[in-house]
Amino acid sequence: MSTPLSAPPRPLLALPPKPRLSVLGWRVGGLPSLWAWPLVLSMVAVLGVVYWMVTTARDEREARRAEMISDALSLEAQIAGWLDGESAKLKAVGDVMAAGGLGRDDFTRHALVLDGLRRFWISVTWLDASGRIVAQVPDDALPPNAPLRAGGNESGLSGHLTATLKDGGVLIARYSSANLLRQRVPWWLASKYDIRLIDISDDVIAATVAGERRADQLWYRKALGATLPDAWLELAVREPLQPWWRTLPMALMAGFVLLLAGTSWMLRRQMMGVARAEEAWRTEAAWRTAMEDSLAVGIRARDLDGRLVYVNRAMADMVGYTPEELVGAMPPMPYWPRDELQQAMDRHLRNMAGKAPRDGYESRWQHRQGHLVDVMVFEAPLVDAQGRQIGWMASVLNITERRRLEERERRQAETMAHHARLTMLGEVASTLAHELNQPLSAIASYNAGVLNGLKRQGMTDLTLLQALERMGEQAAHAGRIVKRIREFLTRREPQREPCDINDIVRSATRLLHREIGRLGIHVDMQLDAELPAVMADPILLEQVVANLVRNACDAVSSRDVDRRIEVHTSRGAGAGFVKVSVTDNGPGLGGRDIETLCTPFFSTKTEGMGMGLAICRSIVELHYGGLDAMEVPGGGACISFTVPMIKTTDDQEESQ
Amino acid sequence: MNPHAAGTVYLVDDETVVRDALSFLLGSRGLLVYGFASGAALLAHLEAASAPPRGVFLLDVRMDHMSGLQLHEALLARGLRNPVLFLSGHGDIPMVVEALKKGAFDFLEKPYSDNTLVDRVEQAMAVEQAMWQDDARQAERAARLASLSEREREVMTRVAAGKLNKVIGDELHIAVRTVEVHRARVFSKLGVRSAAELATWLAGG
Repeated sequence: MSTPLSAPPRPLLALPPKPRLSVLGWRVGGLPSLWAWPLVLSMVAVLGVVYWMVTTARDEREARRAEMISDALSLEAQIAGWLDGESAKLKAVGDVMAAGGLGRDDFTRHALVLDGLRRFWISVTWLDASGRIVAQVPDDALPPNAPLRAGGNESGLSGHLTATLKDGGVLIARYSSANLLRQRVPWWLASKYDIRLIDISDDVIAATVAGERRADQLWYRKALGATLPDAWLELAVREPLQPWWRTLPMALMAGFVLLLAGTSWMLRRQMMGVARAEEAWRTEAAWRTAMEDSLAVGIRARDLDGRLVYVNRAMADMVGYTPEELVGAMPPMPYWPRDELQQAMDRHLRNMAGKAPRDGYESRWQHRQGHLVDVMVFEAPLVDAQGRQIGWMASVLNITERRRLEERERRQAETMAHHARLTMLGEVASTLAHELNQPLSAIASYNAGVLNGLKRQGMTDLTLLQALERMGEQAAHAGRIVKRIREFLTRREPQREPCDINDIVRSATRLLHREIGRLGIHVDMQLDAELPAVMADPILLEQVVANLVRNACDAVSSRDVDRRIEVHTSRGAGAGFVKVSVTDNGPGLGGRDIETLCTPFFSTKTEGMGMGLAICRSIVELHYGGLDAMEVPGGGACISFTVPMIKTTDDQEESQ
Repeated sequence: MNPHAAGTVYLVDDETVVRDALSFLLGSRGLLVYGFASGAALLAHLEAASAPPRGVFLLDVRMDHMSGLQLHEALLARGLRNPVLFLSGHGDIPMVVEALKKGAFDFLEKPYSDNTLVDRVEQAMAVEQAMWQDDARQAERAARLASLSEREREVMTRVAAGKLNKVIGDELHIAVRTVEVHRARVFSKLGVRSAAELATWLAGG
């Protein structure tokens, strides 16, 4: 089992296609990824800038390096040149000593020596050929055989210059390499570079600045060669080269990218929201369309002019048109029945006036294929958001089928009622017939017996004999009536034959002429002599007429004077029917309709069985006719029935 | 009055009115009528009688306890072959067919034309009369045959077959003379005068 609560199924029908972007023929994502495009494009731009900056930085670095190398070379050349100059001056001292034979003291006070000391040299030592110190200026200086670079005084490690004397002695001038750098490096070069002298083991001999070289400094080393063997001149660019990613443009760019990212994020959120809203709207719309189209109830909207502005599918199907054909239609609508246009228009005008019944009204429309459709319409004003009425909204229910079922049910009920009536009447009549048969048989038998006896005794009174014979005939007739009614009520077909309805009426009235005479009733017979023959069982119809006349006699007997009965025969209202009506001036029906009157065992007479009219109706219905009853204005009742006439060629032509 | 005289109508109807009326009508034509209110009453009367009834039965179909058709069955079961006429207020075709198959003489539907009913009763009576006479003749024949001795019957059979006395004597191993004596006695007992007459008599003539 899945969880009881699940998302409602989404209707997939009728979702409009989503808009799509196409770039160089490539489908790109829909709305949700559109937000990323500015970010991606600007990132590409940023990458371009970064690349440009990296190359620029590299080029600059190369340029600076080349400059540094050339600076280093020129500096080395200057230092070498200068040191060569100093060596030449020391040699000049040696030349003087060789020429003048300078003594020890002269030597210490010689101008050249002093000048040298003042200028650059730290000390000058005179060694003889055997290596002993002859003289040293200043004499507190380290012995010439002391290690050259021992000690780290402030002047840095010292270097030395030598000049060989003619006698084999050596002049050694010591100098401070720090001083060398301090005095000999131009200021603009010193401000630009950290300059160091490095020995072979990477130790700093002298430097323009204190401290180690930083790792990020660009540097270059040049061997000093013969002037200062085993030493290197190192130049390190003092102003460190800013890496490209630390530059201001990069910071700006980063800020820009961040800003863009933020904007993109917000844009994305916004677009997601829009997409969600759109999805919701789409779903909603699809749902609504699906619901409207799935409804069995038709929906129709009209504007105030009566123009159809919307119909759903059920409504369109109901009348056989497509919604597109119906929308925009103005009265008269295509589905109005062609022969009821006036009524439909009246109804329409009433609805437009806002007088449509609140609880709906029934109407009849015509399907495109011609058949009629019964509908129930519920009208309601169509109101917009501002509360203004902009038209009329109606729901339409197809009730054709319901109508048909109702009609069929009604007919079935009628048929059943009819059958029930017949069955009951059949039972009653069967019993009655049996009961009546006995006395009738007895009468006939006695009568025949008496006749036989009289004849045997030679009776010659013909009047008496004839009377007895008539009696026998009447008894036999009565027997036939009983038999016929029973046969009819036990569902036997009546013995139909063409007969004259007027003859039947006359014969039925004659049956009662004794009673009519006794009660002093005036019977007015108005028989249409032109009536065509009817197809009927004369004995049964005679019973019907006699029954009606007898009832009329009973009704008028309540009057003291002026007892009148009218018997009419005429053409019925419907074509092809003959109508017989019996009218009396008695007390009337007392508001009872034909149904009540025909209820079995219903009788207004104290000794009546209440079967008369019920049997009459069954007989008439068996002849495909109808029995009807109505009050006569001014008092009295009119009971009438119809039976179909035999169709003759003339009648058919007439009816056409 | 001899209850078994020719021309008696045994009328069974549970409706007294009808029974009386029909009795009166049949009586007016000179017929003797016995009325019974039920089948049981008729059967009781027949049990009590010493001789088989003479005449016809006129039965109502619809009666309580025992219907006319059931009564007819009961009469047939007693071996009574008298004609039976039914009276019915319910002309039910299957019932008519059933009754006629079992040998009912006629079916008279109520209400009936009364002298027609009497006519039919009289016709049935005539049929019964003829049947009774036929029965009487058959009974006499049977009695005469029964009076023959064994030997006489053997001789009679052979005489009727047209055999000569000598041949009969050989077959029965008796003398021709003896055959002649038997032959004369057979002729006398059966009331015939020749061998040809004997053969006709035996054939049921």
